[in-house]
Amino acid sequence: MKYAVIDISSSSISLTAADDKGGEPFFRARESLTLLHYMDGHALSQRGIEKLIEAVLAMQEKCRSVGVDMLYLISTAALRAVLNSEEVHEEIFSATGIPLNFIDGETEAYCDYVANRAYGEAEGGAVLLDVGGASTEICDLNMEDREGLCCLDFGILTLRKKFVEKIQPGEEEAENIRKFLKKRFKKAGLPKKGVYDTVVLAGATNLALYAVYAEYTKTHTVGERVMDLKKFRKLTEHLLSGAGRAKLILDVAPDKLYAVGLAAVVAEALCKRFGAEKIVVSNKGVKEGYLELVRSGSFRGAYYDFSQEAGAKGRSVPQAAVSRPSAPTGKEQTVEAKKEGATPAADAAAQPAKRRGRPAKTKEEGAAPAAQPAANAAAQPAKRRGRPAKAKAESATPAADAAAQPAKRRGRPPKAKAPEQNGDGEENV
Amino acid sequence: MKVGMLTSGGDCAGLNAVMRAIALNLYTNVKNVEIVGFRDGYAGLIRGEAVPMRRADFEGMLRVGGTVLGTTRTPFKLMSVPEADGSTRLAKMVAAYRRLGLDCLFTLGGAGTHRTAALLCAEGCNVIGLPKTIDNDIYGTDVTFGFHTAVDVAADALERVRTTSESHRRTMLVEVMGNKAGWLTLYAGIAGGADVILLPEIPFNLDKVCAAVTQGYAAGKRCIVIAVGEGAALDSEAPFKRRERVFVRTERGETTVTQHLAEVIQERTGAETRATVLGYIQRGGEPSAYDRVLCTRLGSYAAQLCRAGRFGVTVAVSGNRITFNALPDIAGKYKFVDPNGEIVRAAEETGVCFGR
Repeated sequence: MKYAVIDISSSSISLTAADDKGGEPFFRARESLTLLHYMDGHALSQRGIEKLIEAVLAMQEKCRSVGVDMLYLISTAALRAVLNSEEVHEEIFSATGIPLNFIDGETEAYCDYVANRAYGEAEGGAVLLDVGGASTEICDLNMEDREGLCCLDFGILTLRKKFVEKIQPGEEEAENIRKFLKKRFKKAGLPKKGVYDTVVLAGATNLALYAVYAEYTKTHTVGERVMDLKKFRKLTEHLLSGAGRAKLILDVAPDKLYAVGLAAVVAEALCKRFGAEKIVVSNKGVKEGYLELVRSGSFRGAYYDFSQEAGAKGRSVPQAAVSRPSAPTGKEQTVEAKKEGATPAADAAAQPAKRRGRPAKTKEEGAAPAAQPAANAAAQPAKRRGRPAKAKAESATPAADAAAQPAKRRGRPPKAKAPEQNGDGEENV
Repeated sequence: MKVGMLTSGGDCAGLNAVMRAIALNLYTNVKNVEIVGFRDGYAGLIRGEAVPMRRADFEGMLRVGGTVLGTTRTPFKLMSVPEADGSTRLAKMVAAYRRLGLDCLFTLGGAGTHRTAALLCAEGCNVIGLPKTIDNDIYGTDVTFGFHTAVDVAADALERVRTTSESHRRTMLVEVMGNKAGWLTLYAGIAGGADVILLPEIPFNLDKVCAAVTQGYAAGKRCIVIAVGEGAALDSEAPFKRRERVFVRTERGETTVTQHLAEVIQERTGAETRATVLGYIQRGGEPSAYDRVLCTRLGSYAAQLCRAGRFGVTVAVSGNRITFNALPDIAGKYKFVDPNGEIVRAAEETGVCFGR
């Protein structure tokens, strides 16, 4: 079974596809699409909706050509925040048949965590930073599951609107942003120096930041994307006031023109707060995490089933036969299954899920099913990895403090509907 | 409202028609509008020399070829390089834009011009781009202005070459402009009835081309006409970078593959073979009727965008509608011929050889 996730962000639409064997993604694609230029006030213009549909259709075709079976379309703050998000959803579905899953900030953070938890194995503690359009996710990668997640309700677009007059932030604007970040990090209870040695940057904007860094420092990347802290600081200075900063970004990451400078300021501020000595840039983020969660059966998002397309039987699959789940895949059966609230992925989840990644902790109850991570976390106190935390009166980390209190929901209120179905209650195609 | 306009890069028919449409739209619909032009493309903006353009200046421009403002090529990669006075061209353009108090700058140009336009936009200037090129290779638009006029010129040339070739029973290679993308060669080749069309996107096999020539004569043809894109390459050259290809050709005393191909065809097939390079006539002359309509639509829409306050975009054609794309999304990107697309297939299935 091949899965794919398409992510609509504020500046691009990207695709990752992987099979159910748990390995690395076998296909990726990306197309720039700067939604900012297609806004009419706080609503996405008709032209913007057309461009989105065009891009989604192109990605759908790519999925078809590489034999994807199940396609998930997700969007985070980029579309969540637009005034006419319902209209956008309906038009995309009407044109492509693909239902759109809006995911909130906390889910975004969790997907980031799932995709990058392997970095938590490193010595010295690691924290992940993903700066999106309207939200920022910070994840303690040493913590188990959702415990170390922190979702802040500002992102690149928010910072830009609040602090930046033109396209690139200037030095004075950057100073104001740093003060703002300091307050917000403090309010979120993020720890200071001594807890994390490594900051892992995730997300398309941070990947673009790395591309700019590599171009600026003439770094030839082999293996892990690592940024030298001193050189990174110099780059940040250059992005705030250097003569060739716009050209540098346009040469390497033109669709992130509005974002790279701000992303650098945020990353630098976080590194400074944590006293981190190492910056690693991951090429895995929300999409990869979501992909892992759907193929393990932990998530049950609405999806597009290519096997239901006309002529699907004759569809040529470029390699050896792909294994299919034992759950029935006939149209009526799929509809029937949807009405009961199950999906082929959920069928797999009904059985103990095969755990991937790090070995499960030894527990008296046995290995925890991947479908119930939150329950397991609540059942046992989190075991901390990495450098011991400094002694505090209340708890190990402020992130755990946040987790101990009822999570404050951000973004749009959840819809009251089954996640397997789209807003109209129609079955997935 | 005060707006500026400039034309940059290689010229083409229709530039004046577009500027006319922008200006007339603004003069007709906006009170107290002031329009200035910058001579010689970005060079004029760098110098900060604005030329006032009144309504009367635009009358009669619809059918005038070339550009009344003049144009130059100002490479994108030099825009942020400090000059002798310590400033950069980009900084000078931005300073000129601000000093002149412009509300909007219209930039008429190709892919390179759009990259610089995106730079200006990044530095806070209100820019609206318009897609100009005879190559039709700007990403995000179905067609660029100037393209169809160039197609008419090149197709006409191919037809003229055919009559003389038939008289002499010759094989004639006609080199058509288009270094990166083969749209002009493809359209002109089809419209001009070429027997063989060689595109930059489809590296060609010499044996296949020679075979097409031989078979054509064997089938009773009196001449073979081959449309060769400027950027076309042998399949043996395809793995090499452009720089390496240019080097090898320069060693032969050539810049394109056309002359070499003509010699090989003559040698292998025995057919008398000649080569003609159309060159700059493809850029010149008045815009065709199609282009005059297109230019009016594009220019008028650009003015509407300006009036609506939508900047940082470039006007585009999509399914016969005039619309826009965000500049950062298309800057520096090219649109290539799909070797397996419908147009190539249509030609191939009617017997045209693409050398593959």
